[in-house]
Amino acid sequence: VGEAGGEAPEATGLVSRHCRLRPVLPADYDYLYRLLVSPDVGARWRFRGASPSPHDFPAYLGHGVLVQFVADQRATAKPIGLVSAYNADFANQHAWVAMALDPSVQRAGWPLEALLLFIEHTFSAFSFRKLYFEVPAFNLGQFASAIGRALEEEGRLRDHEWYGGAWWDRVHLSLTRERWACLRARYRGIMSP
Amino acid sequence: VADQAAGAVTPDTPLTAVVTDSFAALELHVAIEDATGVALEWDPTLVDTVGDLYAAYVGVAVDRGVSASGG
Repeated sequence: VGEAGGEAPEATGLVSRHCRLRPVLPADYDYLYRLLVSPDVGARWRFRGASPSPHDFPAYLGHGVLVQFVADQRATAKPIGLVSAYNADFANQHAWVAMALDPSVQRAGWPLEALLLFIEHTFSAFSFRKLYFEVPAFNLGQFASAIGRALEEEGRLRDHEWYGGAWWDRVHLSLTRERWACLRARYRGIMSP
Repeated sequence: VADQAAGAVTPDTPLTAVVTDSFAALELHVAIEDATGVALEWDPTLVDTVGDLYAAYVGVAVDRGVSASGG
């Protein structure tokens, strides 16, 4: 609660021009299971190629998660992916963020609105200083142009992950609250319905 | 995106050379909106070249390096 007589902060919206974030419901499990264990997405997601049984999937999906949403395309009301914040460290005020995107929309820019909404929600709802992203090097190409512009590389674990018959680095990227304050002003237009 | 477009980009440059990933697509979208003041419904998969992109917005000053003369 702020000072007496102070205005309440503006509510955080979960709707952008093209995307909507909503809670994960049991009805989403089938779609999410297929997405997160698919060959294209599974190796990039937190499961790293593992495939929990469908029966255990809901528990795996929520393991270590602080908050997560299904991202829908507003025009079709169909899901396009999942955004999650996990391994939150409240003592040191940071958390990790992951996004799984349906292969059918991976080349377009508009699905990233879902990630922008989620970052805004996470920074707004929790007092984190930084959000981290862990990315296997073979996946960096999907958003390489963001590094240096929006994200900073903070660490690199050499030859950390086995995928496709080779060892790959795992890269740790960060987004600070201060940098997000600049970015959210830039993206305000597309983050609004 | 703007930095890339300010270099060797011509109207014949494939858009895939400019929009190298999802973030670049998002940035180009925002850059065009900033320059035009118009909210765009643009899907980079619908056009092939920078020229196509410009043609879609002929008459609008896109001053972020994407131009009919190649910036």
